[in-house]
Amino acid sequence: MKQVTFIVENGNVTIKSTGFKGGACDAATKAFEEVLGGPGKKTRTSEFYEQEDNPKIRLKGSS
Amino acid sequence: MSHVESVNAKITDLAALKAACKRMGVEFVEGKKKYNWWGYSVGDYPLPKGFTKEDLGKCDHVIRVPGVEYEVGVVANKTGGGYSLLYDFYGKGQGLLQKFGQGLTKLVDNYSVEALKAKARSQGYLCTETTTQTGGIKLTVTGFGD
Repeated sequence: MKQVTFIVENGNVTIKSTGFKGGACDAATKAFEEVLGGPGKKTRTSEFYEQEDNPKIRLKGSS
Repeated sequence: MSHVESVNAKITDLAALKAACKRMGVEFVEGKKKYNWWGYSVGDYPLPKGFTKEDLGKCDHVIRVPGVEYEVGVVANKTGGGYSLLYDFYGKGQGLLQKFGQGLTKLVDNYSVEALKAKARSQGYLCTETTTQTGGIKLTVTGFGD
């Protein structure tokens, strides 16, 4: 399940997104980052580097 | 002796700030143009960044803690948008620190929570709030479409 969790403590907000493939996590958290005043330092998980199930772009010659 | 400290919180949403005040049991006095503090700077502490001596004591709104004489001034930033929180933390200002924590972190935390919850609702997501073991606040947002 796709979800975003925020841990708010001591003036800091830690954002964790799970269940998203590829760059969808960035899109999901962007609006929340703007609310807080801008993005912070991001640490990518392995899910970020997985491709989405239905890629919209096909490259010629790719298998 | 007097000191005024500015918390560089990225506060941009007054509605969220009001909601934070409500959940903390303090009063947001909209439109009050002066906040209570010592009254003048004796120069023994750096001025808040971006503010002059003449700026101290003036604000756009006030946050008042019941039983505490000094107040937090909510000041619209001259550049860059958003608001700064100014307060005198010396002497009678200690009550503000007791309520809001050093650097007003508890107020900022509650503001962040309310701002995030409002954004989640406006986007049509489901948001639940819990408390962490260390006293922090955890928000879980779902409904992104699985």
